[in-house]
Amino acid sequence: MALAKPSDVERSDSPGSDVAAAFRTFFDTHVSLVWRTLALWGVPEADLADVAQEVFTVVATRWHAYDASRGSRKSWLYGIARNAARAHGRSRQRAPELAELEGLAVVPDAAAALDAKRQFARLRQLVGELSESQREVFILHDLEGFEMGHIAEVLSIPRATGYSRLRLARARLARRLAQRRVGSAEASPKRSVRHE
Amino acid sequence: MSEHDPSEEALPEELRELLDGARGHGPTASQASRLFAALPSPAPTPPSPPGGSAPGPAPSLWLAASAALIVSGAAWFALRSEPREPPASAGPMDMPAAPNVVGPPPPADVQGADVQSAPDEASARRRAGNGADEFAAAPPSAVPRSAAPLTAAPAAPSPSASSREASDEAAVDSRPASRARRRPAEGDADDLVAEARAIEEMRRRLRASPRAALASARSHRRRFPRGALTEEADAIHVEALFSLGRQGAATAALDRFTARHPNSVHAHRLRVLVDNASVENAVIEDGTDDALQKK
Repeated sequence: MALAKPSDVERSDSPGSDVAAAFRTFFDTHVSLVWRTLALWGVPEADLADVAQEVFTVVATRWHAYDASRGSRKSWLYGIARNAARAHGRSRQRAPELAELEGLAVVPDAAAALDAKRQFARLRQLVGELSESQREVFILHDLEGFEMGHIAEVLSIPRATGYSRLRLARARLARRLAQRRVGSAEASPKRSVRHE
Repeated sequence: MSEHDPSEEALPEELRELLDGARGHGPTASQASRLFAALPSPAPTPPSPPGGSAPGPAPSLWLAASAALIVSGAAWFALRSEPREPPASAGPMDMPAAPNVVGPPPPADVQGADVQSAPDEASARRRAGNGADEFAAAPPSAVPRSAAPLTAAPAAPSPSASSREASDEAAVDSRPASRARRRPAEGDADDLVAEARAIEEMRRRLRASPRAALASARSHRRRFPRGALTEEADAIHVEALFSLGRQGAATAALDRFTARHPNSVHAHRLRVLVDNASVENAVIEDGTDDALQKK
C-alpha cells in the first residue's frame, strides 16, 4: 500500500519489526543455552531440535506476555526450556546418553565443536547423578552463570539453601571425577604407566 | 554485596575445565538457522482482539483446515501417523502457526518446505467444502476415497473409526442433540459437520471468552455423545482452564486428557503450555523441594 498513512505504517509495521528484531537477537544469544538445558535435563540428541523449536515457539507466542518484573528474559527462557524438557521426559523414555558423538557432522571448525560436545557429554553424564534440586542450582550457577540471588528468586529458595546445594553438588561431582580417575587407572592397568 | 559465593574456591580445577569446555556446546549454525526458520513470528500484542494484524492469521485457517481434516478422516490419520512432526506445528491451535503449516504466505526460504503441505491442505479444504454431500451420498464404506490405504495403519480409537461406527447407526437431522429423530441412510455427515462447527465456535471463543469456551467444552460430550471430536473438545477444555488462570484444574484436566487420549497430537503441546504457566509464576516445583538435598 503506497498510500498508507505514516500512522498506519507505524501501527502495523514498526512495532512488529522491532519485536521481530528483538526476538531474532534473543534467539541468537540464547539458543545454545536452550540446547544445553534441554540436553542436561534428559532430552535425547535426536529430539533436541524439535524440543528447542517448541521452546522458542512458546517464547514467540508469549513474547507479549512476558513480565519484566518477574525476572530476566533469560531466566524466563530457562524455565520454559526446563519445563519443555520435563514434559518431553514424561512423554518419552529416556534415550541412551552417549553413542551420539558418531552423528556429528564434519564442518570446518568441527574440531572445536567436537571437543565442546565431548566435554558436554561428560558433564551431562556427571550431572545426571545429582539430585534434581542440586543439578538445577549447579547448572544455573556454574554452567550458565546466573547469580545466586537470581537463582534463589527463581527457585523460591533462600540463598543459603542455594549455596548449600551448590556446595553439595560440586563436592559430589569432584568425588565422582576423582573416582573415575582412579577407576579408569585400575580398570585398564595395561594402558596406564605402572610405578612399582 | 555482603554475600559472596562461599564455595568459589571449592570448584575443582577439573570440573572448571569441564564446564568451560561444555559451555561452548550448542546447535550448529545450520541447526540453528533451520530452527529459526521454522518459528512463528513473535506476537507483539496479546492475541485476544481478532482484528489484529500480526498474531492472528492462524485460528480461522486452522479451523477450516482442521474441520476439513476431521471430516475427511483420512488426512487425520496422516497427521497422526506422521512420526516426526514437531508437536508445535502439529497442534497450532493457540499459537500463531509455524510458517509451514497454516499461515500467511511464507518467506522465500521456507517456501520449499511449504510445497508439500500446501496441496494437501488445499485438497483438504476442498473436501470440507463438499464433504457433506459426499458423506450423505456415499455408503459408509466408501467414505473418504483416499482413506483405504491409510486406515490400515494401527491406531488407537480414532475419529474415523468412530465416525464409521456412527454412520452404521443412523443419521440425524440438523439438530444434533435430538437423537430421537434419527433417520437411517443420511449418514453422519450432519452430525460431524455440526460437531465440527461446535468445535470451531468453541475455539473462536477460546480467545475472546475462555469462560464461554469452557462451558461449551464441558457440555460437548452431552451434546455429542458419539462425537468424533471429543478429543478436540477435551483439548479446548484444558486450554480454557489454562486461559482462565486455573492452574490446578488445568493440570488435572490435562492428566485426564492424556489418560483418555494417550496418542493425541495435542498432549505434548498442552503439557508445555500448562507447565509453562508455573514458570511464569516464577516457581519451579523442584526448587522448593528441600527434601532431596538433605544429604
